[in-house]
Amino acid sequence: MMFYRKAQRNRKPSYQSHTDAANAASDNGGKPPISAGLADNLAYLRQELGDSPDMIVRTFEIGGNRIPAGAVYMDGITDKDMVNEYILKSLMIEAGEAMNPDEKPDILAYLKANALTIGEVHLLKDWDCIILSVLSGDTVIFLDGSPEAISGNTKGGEQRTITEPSTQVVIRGPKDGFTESIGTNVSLVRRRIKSSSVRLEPFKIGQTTKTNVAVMYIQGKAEDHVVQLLRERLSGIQIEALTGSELLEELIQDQKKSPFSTLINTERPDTVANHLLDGRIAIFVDGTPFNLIAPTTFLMNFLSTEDYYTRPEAVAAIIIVRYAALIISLFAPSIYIAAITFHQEMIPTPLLLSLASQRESVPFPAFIEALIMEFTFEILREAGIRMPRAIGQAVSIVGALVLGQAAVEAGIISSAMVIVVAITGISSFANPSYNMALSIRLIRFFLMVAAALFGFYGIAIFSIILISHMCSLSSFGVPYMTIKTPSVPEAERKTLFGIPLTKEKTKPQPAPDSGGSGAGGNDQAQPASAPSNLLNESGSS
Amino acid sequence: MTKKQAISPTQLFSMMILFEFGTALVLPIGLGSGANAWLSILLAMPGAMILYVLFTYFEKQFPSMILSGYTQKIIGVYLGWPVSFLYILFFIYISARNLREAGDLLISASYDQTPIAVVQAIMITAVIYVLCKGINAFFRLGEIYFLIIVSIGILSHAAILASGTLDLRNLLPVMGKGWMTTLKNAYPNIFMFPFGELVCFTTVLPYLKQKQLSKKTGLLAILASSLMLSLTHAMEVAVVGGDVYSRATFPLFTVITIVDVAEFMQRLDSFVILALIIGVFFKMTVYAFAAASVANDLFRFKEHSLIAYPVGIIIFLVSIILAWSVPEHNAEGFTVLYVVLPVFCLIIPVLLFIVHLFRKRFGHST
Repeated sequence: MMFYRKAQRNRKPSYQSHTDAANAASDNGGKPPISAGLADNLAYLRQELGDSPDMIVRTFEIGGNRIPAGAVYMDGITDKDMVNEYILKSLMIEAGEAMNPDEKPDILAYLKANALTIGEVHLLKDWDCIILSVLSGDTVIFLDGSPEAISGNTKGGEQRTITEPSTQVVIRGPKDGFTESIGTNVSLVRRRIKSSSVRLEPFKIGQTTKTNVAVMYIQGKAEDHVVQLLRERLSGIQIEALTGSELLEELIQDQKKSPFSTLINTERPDTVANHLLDGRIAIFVDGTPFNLIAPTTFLMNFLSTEDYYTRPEAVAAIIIVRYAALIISLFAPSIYIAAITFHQEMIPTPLLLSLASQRESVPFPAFIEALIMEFTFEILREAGIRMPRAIGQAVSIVGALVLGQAAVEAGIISSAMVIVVAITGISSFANPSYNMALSIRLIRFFLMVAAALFGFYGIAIFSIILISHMCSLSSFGVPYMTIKTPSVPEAERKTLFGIPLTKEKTKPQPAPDSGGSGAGGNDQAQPASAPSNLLNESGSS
Repeated sequence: MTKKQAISPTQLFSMMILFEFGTALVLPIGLGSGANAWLSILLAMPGAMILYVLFTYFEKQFPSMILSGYTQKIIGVYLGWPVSFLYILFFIYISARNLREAGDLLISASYDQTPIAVVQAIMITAVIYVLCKGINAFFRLGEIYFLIIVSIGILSHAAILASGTLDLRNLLPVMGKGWMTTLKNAYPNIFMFPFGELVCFTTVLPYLKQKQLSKKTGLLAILASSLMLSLTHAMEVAVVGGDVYSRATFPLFTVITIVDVAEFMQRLDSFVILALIIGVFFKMTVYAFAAASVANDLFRFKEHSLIAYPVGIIIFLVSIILAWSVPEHNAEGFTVLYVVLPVFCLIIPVLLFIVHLFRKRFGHST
């Protein structure tokens, strides 16, 4: 994965120069202007797209004076019903009936204004726009005799429907998850925050992929300088292809060299809505259900969506459990190694005796033993992800029996080590953030080396270095290790170390719009029009 | 690295407490004050506060200037520059002493087979790393470790209380050797170590975000740290008795090995070692930071973080060649306590203050 990305980056400069050259060429007339002849235009478009079989060209005639016209769209990414009903039908039948035959010069504008019964229509004047438009799923209409084209938004085609998110499951809470379509994702969030101060800013990133990226925030809640910083970073990105939010995350984070990711991602629209209400910014990337939230602090990684739907007392307790799990998954093997190798005097005598008798038959030092087991566990985990479900059980049996019990009986490892590795592995799954769990998996091995070399002293010094590294990180100017509620000046949800102290967002929020109940779901005094909104909502969904 | 360098009062408070704890938490302090060390600490506290007020006075008179800056302003560049340079040496030397002490204690505690140079090298690596990350990261780190050390403290104290080894009669007689002995231990011994060492913070105060809070924060930190230090040392005496307390290499370690709560919490030694590592780390890093910032100020380096490497390496080398053995190191400690610390922590600042007052009143300088 990593070197794949590297390769991508290395390719970038050459590509960039190539496109720059192309742009320069188009400025100098490299791409011809749109000609007035329909046949020329269609032929040129065919040639540009390499005579692709999924490009559909439909030629027809409009009106009484039979102006030749052509509609172009890509098969599969357009909504065919829409093309047939609102473009072809309205142009071929309805436009002809109503049209005045004398109005030839303005005919495109006339069609745009009177004939195309479709929501989003643009007048296009150069080939780049036209090609991008066709490739995004629009239908482009050429007319004989006019050097312009009209595009109608007919984006559609097969898409995954909204399903329950697979990675961030909650017991109690909404069950809808993001899909791969940016439009759907934005709408899922919009439905939750019916506020006029929600802002959405579009970006196109990737010279080849032209991926749609959208930034969403609530004006008046998100801090302006953070939004501005994000805008600058997004528009400064020079990259060939953007295929998911992971790459974008890497490109826009403050410090590139770090095992920690300073942006969290989520598959849940309600999480995004909650973060927006807390003054953070969501970054949607087309083609992935994982959207980014900025700015992120370390403690935010330990919040699960479920926390918003649970009683604060319970959440406080659960979050403490999560912190404990973090510490266990990070330190358990290294502390075991340190205690066995350097600090035997710190283990209570009966336990020490038992450990010593277990380890008597083990031929390896504790560090090697831990390394073998941890590595095996990582292999099991990695295999478990890719394995077909049907044989998953078989592997878990092999893992549990062969690697656990049998390895102990064969005297390769001690049974205490199995316990340590098991508790470490299980603890790492208690972390709500997969990104964080990954970083911890990585750091754990360095800690084990430090423990093997210098015992507790090594662990302590490595921790100091680790935490100071985390302290030096920031996410869009917000310190990563801040203890306060991340980035929210007027946060209503008082938290201490991420543990919520109050639940209700009682005070009216600074955002000027009404309601603002969000996904948190505490209904406040709604304006009189709210009930009808709610009815509409339930009717449409 | 962040461009804006600013620390919050909470961070300053945390760092001052960690700095005060340093080795003072683990070592017997006040050299021979014995059972009444806890009282001497409390007695030394007012002096420490007055000294700190002096530092904040300079800070107010010369805003956004560190020690070397106003030294040169007050007594002129030709005299001030060498004095400031001496401060670099002083900071490096004390930092090296701290490193050496940490090395010795760790070796005697559980790393008897590891060469001391290796132990020190590991520590100095962390110091250099943190210094390179800049003051923001360093003070945020302090905030986090303050929480850690306070939790360790609460847990250890609770364990000592629960173990039932506490005997308050050990604290008696209060001031058995009379007022003078206790007072002598407070001034200059405890007044200088650890309180006088706050002179390091003259290089930190200009970074504080809310300048008006520097005095209040510092005084609170001194109050809190002296109360906690006093409590800890009183606890140590109450558990092992004044006699053992004054003879032990590091009494807290001795105390904690006695603790046995319900045959479960038996080995809290690691807590003490951890507290020691954390304390020493922060103390020597604050010293190294002070040395680095004075050096940056004197030599006007452009890249501020690079100075961390030479400063760190010099501290490391000095700590190795400092003394051949622990007794030699301790003997040198007397000189430090009675000569070096008073000169740099008390005499020079007070002289500066007097000169400054004179110049303000009688001089026609701006």
